[in-house]
Amino acid sequence: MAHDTTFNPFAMARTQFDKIADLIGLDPGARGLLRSPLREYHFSIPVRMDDGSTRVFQGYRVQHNDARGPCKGGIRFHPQETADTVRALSMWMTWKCAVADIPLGGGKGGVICDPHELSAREQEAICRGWVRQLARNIGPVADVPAPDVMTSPQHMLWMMDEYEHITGGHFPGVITGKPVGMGGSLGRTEATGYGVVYCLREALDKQGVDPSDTTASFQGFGNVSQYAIELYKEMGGTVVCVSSWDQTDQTTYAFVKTDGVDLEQLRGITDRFGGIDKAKAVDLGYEVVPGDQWLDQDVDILLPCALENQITGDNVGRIKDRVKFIAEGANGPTTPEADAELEKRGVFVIPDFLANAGGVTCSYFEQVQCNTNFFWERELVLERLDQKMTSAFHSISDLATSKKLYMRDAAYVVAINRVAAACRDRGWV
Amino acid sequence: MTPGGGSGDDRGVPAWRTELDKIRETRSHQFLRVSRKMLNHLCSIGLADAERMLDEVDDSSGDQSGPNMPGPQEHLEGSVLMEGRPFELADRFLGDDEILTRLRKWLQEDKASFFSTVVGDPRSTMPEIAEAIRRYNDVLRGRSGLAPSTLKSLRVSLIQRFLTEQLDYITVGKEVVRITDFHDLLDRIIMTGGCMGKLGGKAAGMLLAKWILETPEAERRGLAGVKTPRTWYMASDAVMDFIKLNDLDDVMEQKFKDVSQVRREYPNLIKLFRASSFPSEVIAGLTRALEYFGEAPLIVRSSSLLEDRFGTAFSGKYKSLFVPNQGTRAERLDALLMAVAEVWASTLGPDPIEYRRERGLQEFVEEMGILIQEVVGTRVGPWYLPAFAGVAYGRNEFRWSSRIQREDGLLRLVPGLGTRAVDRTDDFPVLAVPALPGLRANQTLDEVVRYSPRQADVINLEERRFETVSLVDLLRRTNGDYPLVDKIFSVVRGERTERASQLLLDPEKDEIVADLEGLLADTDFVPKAHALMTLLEEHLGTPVDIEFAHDGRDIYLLQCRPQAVTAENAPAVIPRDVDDEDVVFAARRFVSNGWVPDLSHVVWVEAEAYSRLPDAEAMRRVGRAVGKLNRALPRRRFVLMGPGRWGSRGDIKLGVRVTYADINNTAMLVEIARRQGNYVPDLSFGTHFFQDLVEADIRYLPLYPDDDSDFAEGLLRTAPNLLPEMLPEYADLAHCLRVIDVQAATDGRVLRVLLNADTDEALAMLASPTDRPQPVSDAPPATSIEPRQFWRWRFRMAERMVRSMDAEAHGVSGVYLYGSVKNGTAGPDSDIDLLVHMSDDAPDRRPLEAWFEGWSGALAEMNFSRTGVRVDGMLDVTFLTTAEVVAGTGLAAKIGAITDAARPLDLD
Repeated sequence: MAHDTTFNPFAMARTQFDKIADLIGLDPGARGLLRSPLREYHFSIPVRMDDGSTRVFQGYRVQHNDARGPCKGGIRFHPQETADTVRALSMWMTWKCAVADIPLGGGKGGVICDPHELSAREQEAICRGWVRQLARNIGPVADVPAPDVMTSPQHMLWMMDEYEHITGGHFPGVITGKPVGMGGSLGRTEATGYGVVYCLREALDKQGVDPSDTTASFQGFGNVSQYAIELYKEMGGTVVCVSSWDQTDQTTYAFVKTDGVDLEQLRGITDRFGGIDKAKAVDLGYEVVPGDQWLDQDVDILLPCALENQITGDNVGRIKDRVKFIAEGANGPTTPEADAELEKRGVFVIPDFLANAGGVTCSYFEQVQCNTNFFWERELVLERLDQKMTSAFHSISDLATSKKLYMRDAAYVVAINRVAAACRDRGWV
Repeated sequence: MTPGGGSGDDRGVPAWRTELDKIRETRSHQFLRVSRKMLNHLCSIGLADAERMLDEVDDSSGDQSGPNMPGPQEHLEGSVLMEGRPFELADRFLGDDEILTRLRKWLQEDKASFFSTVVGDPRSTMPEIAEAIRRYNDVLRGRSGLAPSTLKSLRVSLIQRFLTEQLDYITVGKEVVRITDFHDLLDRIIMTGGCMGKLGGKAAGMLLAKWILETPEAERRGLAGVKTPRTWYMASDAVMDFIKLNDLDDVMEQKFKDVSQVRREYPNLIKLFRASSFPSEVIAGLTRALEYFGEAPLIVRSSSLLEDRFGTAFSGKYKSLFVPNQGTRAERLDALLMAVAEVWASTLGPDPIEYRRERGLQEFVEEMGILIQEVVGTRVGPWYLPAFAGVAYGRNEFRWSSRIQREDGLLRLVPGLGTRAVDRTDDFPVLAVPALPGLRANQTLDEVVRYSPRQADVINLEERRFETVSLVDLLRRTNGDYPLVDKIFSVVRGERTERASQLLLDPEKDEIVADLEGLLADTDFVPKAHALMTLLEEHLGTPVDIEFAHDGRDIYLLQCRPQAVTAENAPAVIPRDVDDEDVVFAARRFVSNGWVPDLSHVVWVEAEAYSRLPDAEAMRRVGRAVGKLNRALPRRRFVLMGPGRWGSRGDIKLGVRVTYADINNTAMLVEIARRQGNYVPDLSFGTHFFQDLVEADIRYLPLYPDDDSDFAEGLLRTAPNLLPEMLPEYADLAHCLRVIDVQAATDGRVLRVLLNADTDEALAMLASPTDRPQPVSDAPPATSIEPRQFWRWRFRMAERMVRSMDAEAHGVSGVYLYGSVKNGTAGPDSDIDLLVHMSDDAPDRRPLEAWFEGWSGALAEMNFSRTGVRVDGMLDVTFLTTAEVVAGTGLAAKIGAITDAARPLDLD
């Protein structure tokens, strides 16, 4: 890279790791091992294009660590992928699986390409080519990819099919994110949103707060948010504000109803992108205000479930004193400056990679179901998800309480410690 | 061989001699002509006797003409020819069979010659020509007895008389049309007695395409199944008979009146036309047409002599009306007559008149032919609609991938009537590239759902009207009974889509998207569309645009014309004599044709500084700052230039992270691909919001400064950067995000971007705002899409209004103008944005509000008479307190702003 000062995601991930490694006094061997991926594969995928010519695509897979179990992580089709981005993402997957305490490691991979430029047939050829190059190095008990940026369940099915062609058996557990009926798991749609609220429920319980005495404000009304609201209301909570993106006006609005939103009513006037029909909402008695006002609500709980970097140093001061809990349904909704302020104010933050680990946990369930060729009912999936999330939450909050750590730091400590321990137990370091 | 041969009858007289004798007795002129032809033939085979006979003929007529003098009139009676001597000579040298064959051929030719005479005579009326064609057909019973050259000349004459005199068209038409085609056409032309008119441009274009589709070449390319809808035609001068019959001659003066007067009178004119009586031939013709069509819905389209000429785009200027054609015969005839009247009246509407005036076509006698086409479609519940319809362009001006060449074309497809594919609506058509059937503009499920059509235009047969319905409602009401349902619709299942199946579709529960994926992926539709475009382009020698529709069984071609060169996509002349220092950038790859308004501001994200930003958060702040600039700068008057991929959600280093909302006011998006190490990064071609850009007409241009593009950063680096003043909270980004007020930095000049896809060149240069760019075509730019002078009278009226205000009595300290009127970008529906600074001791505001309201209504009325655009009120007034003005918050920030400041208006 041309400049040292250039923002580099892998350098950032390492800095974050080093900070925790210092905190727990990680030995140099484990530190050295965990700072870098265990294995990286870089390979060429020749593809016969529709016009008869041949184009060669660059494929890769980074397996950061599999001490706790098979690597898990997405496959990205991105035209301008860099090795360091993928390394960083694979490391984050290791921590994420460890924090949820599922027996999986971290990986990430992909192909440098833009699907907008490729026909379906060409994309299929890329998927099959990727698996042909890597079939010996992935598998249901070695490395289990999943959909990610610009890849879909269709891509996963082509890859699974190619893998099964090569290995001569049925191994749906080689990949997750498949449609239900083709090896996918029930409950995946709800998993992330429910997972957020399982954690929230435990946090409230820990602080001795009755959920039915609480009010909450949600940012976003997409998949995560809707299922989180569903479960939170089931627990007796009152949602007074939901913000959503308005495609027509190209801005966000917040929909306020102090006596509590009616989820089904709102769902009835919402498109698949979580966009709420403004006019209809007004008719239903909602007050429609600028979108950023979801943050200003006088509530007990904030649930940022939309985008990254929403709570910043600039706006953290607007959060009302009454707010005592923040559950991060989105990835990275809080910036470090805001984080510092929240810590100072004693707000209980359930950090993103714990709060939204319901998704990866359900992927794990998919792999388990595939490997045993026995598929669970939705209720069972959600019940087991609850168990996993609850237990993951407590191991982190217990540490946070006993060592007086901020929840986010505690989560990292637990995750890194678990992986380092596995490496030691295996005699690697 | 004809029976009888040359051996003749029982008495041994050859058959040819019997026929010849009969002719000599009854038709002496014809006898003379065949005699002459025989003599010529004998000479041509080298008979010396024939040569001598020819000399004799010539001597007898005597060549007494001098070089500058006509010869005397010839007298042929009693001559060599009249005596039939050539045949005597032939009898000696040729067999009876040969003589008979030749004689019969010449006689046929001769019989047909009356046809040439009628067709070639400019005084012949259309009914006379029609009669001649019928007789010609009867005489020859389908066998052409004419020499190829004669046939060709007849075809040319017929095209000239019925269709057009344009040479381009004739050149193509004469090769593909057959004379019998005109015979088929005749029964479906409605004409009045002395008709000298034509069928008009749209009819001509359609017929030409139809004939091309009937060539063996079309069949070889697999296009035999492409149909054209059943059509009737009305000759262009029927409207004149109509005008005469009703004493409406004075309406012809409409075109010389002021446009606002035309607009005022137009509704009455339509009423007048509808209330007038129709020539009996027109009524009789339309009655026959209705018998032919039955109760099929119809579309009545204008086919003006000016419309769809090669190089002139009159599209959409005249009316096309749908006629549901339901009810009793009398009701249907009445509805059809009213539609015809309204289409006729549309010649005299304000828009066509203004358009013609701009093009110097005002004096052209505007006669309009009419096309009555059966609407291609099928009944679905109470509605009638095609399974899908669309338009195809031979040249693609919106490419989302470097793999797409301009010549690969573009398809815009919609379920239902094609009106929604032709026009830009708030909905999205499905895009496809004819030459690259596998490519999709939308890849992820979210993209597919977001950019798929939601509504369809249909004819409601029960209500007898044209309407727009939601596709989901339509499917629910018909329980999914839709033609080609599995080709048009997909069902979202989890994170992907599946083809809808007629059997399993549950419109009440399923999430349905009209992505047309089944059509694109599982049928040969796209390759066929490509073959069709290629065939038409080869014949016409120019890229075409076509409209088509599919009724569930067959695909129909509905319209074909050379791809319109509108100002929106006219290639600009790239000047060669621009001073280097005036060039800001120049591109030589992936250039689309397109029109970019003169730009007043440039927003530039400098690649090097951007890549040096310390962290991702700083980079995200650049995106947020761009979003704020997008709202602050004058709409469609600035260009956004930045490194790599705008809107990329991948590695943030590779491009500024913005959403469509952050860029939706720009006129143009430029992506700059700087070489990094040994590779040049891929650009996004706007894929992240590609269809939004297309429908909003925001132009996209990639720059490759290290390869073949020029990018002179000088001005952008040295001009003052407005960022710190405009957005003080982002002042720290000034080293990488620069906002340039071009006019301030260059003594009032603007940035003009000229795009020419034909030469694949784009040039952005500094120019004075007055000299307008000239498009390459002869047609002057369509001013209708340029910001015409809508702002000018608004500005004047705002000044006048404010001067007439009793500011003191109302407690007004100042009035400021901002927005589109101030910026000179107002459109026909723009309002006038005013800030009114009220003094602290101002009295009750209500009288002032009422005063503004009165003006608002009056100005709206004025706007309507000028533009035909109806708005509720013309004024958007915001009252500000002194405290607000001092604080400079909200709109008050516009007063004394760094750029795009509100303009104070004089209080008298």
